[in-house]
Amino acid sequence: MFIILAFAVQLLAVLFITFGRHPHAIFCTIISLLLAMGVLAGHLHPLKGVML
Amino acid sequence: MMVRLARINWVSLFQVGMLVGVLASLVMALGIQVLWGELPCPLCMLQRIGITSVAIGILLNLRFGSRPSHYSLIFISCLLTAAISLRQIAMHVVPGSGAYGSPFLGYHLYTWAFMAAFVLMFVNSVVMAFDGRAQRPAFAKQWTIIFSIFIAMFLAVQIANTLTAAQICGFTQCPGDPIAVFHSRDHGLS
Repeated sequence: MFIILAFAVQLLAVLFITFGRHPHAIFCTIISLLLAMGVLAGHLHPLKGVML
Repeated sequence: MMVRLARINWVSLFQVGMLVGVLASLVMALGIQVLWGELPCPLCMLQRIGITSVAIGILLNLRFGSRPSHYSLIFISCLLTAAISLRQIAMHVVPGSGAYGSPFLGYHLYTWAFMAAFVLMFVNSVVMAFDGRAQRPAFAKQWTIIFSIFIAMFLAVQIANTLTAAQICGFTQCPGDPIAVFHSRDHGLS
């Protein structure tokens, strides 16, 4: 679920770039990177099962 | 058109080249997925997210002009991609532990992703060294054909990636080996 969310937020970032919204695009890209980092952290955690 | 092209300096041209390379790798990953039927694993999708963020950083440089924040975004994305692909390499590095997917030109896609992230970090460092602070945005306020093509390609790839992730994962946990999961579904095993 978080992976889909990260892709969707990146899609939003590209749209923001298209329409010239610089801070919004940066914000969306950072959010997607944070989501990806969260999923990776869930994968590396010994309890697993968090990799949505 | 010629005047507009003359305004683009070589740093911007180099960044356009980087963008073409990054987009080509994303399109190639999608092509392998569609043509060879190799569904992306969760770590593969995370690598795609990292490489897409690199492309967004380059696009920001081209659209709004070079800024330190754009370069740092590219670096962080490269580091994340390298970390994810290194994790996947480490999972399969032990002899007998197998591999995910078919090799492409002798290496698996996660190995290629690691090498691409490393090369992108190096190239980004070189471009950053030659980039002046008074850099004029290559595509600012001018809807050039090139920019439109890039955006269209980018949007198409991103929509395809989002739909792929939605198809494979749904709203639950992504399967670790989607190829096996889909294969068993086809044969009514699950």
